Amino acid sequence: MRARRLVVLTAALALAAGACQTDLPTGIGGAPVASDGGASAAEGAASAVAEPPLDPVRQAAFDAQARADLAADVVRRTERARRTYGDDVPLRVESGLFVLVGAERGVPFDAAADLAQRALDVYLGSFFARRPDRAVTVYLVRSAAPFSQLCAARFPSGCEGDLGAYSRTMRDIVVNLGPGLPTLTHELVHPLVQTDFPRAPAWFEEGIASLFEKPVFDPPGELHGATNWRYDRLAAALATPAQQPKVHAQALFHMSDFVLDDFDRDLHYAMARMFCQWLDQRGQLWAFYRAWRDGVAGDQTGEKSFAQVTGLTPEEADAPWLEWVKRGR
Amino acid sequence: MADERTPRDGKTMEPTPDGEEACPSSERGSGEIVGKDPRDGRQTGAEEPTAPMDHTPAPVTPSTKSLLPAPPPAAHQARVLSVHVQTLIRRRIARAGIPEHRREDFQQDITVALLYMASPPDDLEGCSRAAHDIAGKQIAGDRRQDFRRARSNVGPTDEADQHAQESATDRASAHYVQQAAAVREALEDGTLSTRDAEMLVLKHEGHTDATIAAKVGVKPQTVSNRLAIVRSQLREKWQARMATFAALTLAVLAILAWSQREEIASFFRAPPPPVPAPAPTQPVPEPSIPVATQAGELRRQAGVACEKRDYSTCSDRLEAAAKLDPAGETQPRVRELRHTVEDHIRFERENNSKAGGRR
Repeated sequence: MRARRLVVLTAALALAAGACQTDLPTGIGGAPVASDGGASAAEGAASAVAEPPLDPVRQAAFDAQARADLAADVVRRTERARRTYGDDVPLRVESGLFVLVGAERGVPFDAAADLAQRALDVYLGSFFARRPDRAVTVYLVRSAAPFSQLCAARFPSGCEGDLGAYSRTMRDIVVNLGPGLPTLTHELVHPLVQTDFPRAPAWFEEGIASLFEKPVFDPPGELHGATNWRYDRLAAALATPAQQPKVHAQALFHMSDFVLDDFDRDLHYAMARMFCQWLDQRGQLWAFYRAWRDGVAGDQTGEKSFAQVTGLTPEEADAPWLEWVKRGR
Repeated sequence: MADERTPRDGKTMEPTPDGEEACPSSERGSGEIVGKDPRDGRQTGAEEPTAPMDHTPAPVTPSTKSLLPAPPPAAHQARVLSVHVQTLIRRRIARAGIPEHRREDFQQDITVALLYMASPPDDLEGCSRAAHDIAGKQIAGDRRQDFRRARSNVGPTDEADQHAQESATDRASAHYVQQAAAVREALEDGTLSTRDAEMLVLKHEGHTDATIAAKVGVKPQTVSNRLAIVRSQLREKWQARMATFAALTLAVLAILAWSQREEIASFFRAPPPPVPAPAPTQPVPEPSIPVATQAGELRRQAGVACEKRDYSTCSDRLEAAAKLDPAGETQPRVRELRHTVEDHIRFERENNSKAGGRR
């Protein structure tokens, strides 16, 4: 009991100090912000008791501290980019969260940043409820070599492929803009889903992210996904008797992250994307997303939420979905 | 025991031929003035309510004239018949509780006695005092007469029925039964001889010692002595009987009291404090746990789950807490847990990297 009082008192004093110095690049009580491998700090304090109910003054201090921590994180990432690429490196902070860095000369930085800004306006304004409180650095390159170099330098386990990658622990995105800008809108989805729906399975997260690989801002203020190159992969599977049985909605609802990534990865990505596109065209994608996110504790596969929103079970959804796919979107 | 027949007003008692004491002349005179109906012997005055109103004495017939004393002085007669004295007499009779139907007789008797009293007072005040005294004597005499009638159990005569009071009769009956039982017992055990009993009865009937002596055939002194001895013995027997009766009564009462001891004890026990009236049941609201407290508990559980690397449960608890207490999401501890979940829940899929080789 005495220890608990001591912890609360210390926290209150630290908060009072932090509230007066919101621009300090430090975390609570002077501790470093847990952005780079900060999970260990969180684990170490896991046994601490939750904070008691707050009065408005303390609540305001906490809010200010969160904003200060995010700002400090952005500053730290900006300074790191400048140290790495020089002071004249193209650099923009979008939505106060994403630090876009032109990591290779000749990258269409402004176009990419503009696209990111448009997409983030919709993402944060319409799709995702909880805003991340930690910044993300987005390294923009236009060729595979710098992409691989960055992956090797920033990602502990490297990258698969050469288009884009997001490290959940480092909170870094590397995007190869050479093939096209929309890979950026794909990767921006990951940190947002990570915060807003951390229990979302990989197939659903990748399906939403892939949907915006070909973003359509029409009507204005909205964002939808148009058919892209992944459709061809799904169509090919449907045309192949050996793979056709794999293509059904129920397979998605029961697809583990391991299966998604390790077996017929392209096909699984294509299935997820086209399934999300089908739902988006029906105007049910985000209703399904929110229902699943809010009820995931009792609906881990998402089937209940899906049935609640669409009125169909995954089995029942197979026919209309595949018909929609075969019809050519 | 005082002799009830002793005159209190100083009048001379006239012996009767049979040896009994006579009533005072004034009382005797009043009865003769009112007169009796020769057919049934009832007092005629009681049936004539107008008699006291005209304040005129009843007419004196030649047959009774020789028995009356000299007529009272006119002044005294006027005072006696005055409204003041008559009202005083009427009130005195009413106060004494004389039944309504007998008050007129009393009024006449007292008025006559007052008119023919031996030494009439000279003023109205003295007359009023005399009226008061005579009325008191009349009333006392009437009560004595009632009591005697009840004791002697004279039987179902008209007189007894009219004059005896029920309560007095009842009391006398119970008393008489006890006395008769005592006498019977004395006769059985030999304490009381037949001759003594005869003397007692005669004495009880009002005969004088001399009369009794003559009837029984002994000397009057012997009668007096025997009566005194017998009365003493009977008194002792009566007292013993009463003592036995009282002891039995006490025993019965004691038994009853013992059997009812709880009730008696509860009677003397202090009354229990009044039980408060049951208040109407008020709906008591369920104690609600503040949402912030509930959220705090959920976040505590989230911390435990994260410590066990059960990030799914940790996330679920954090989400549930966020629904209850959205403002608490910026608490440092909550933010740390959020970061832990975000960074580790898909740790095996650290990189959300897309497969290459498109297009």
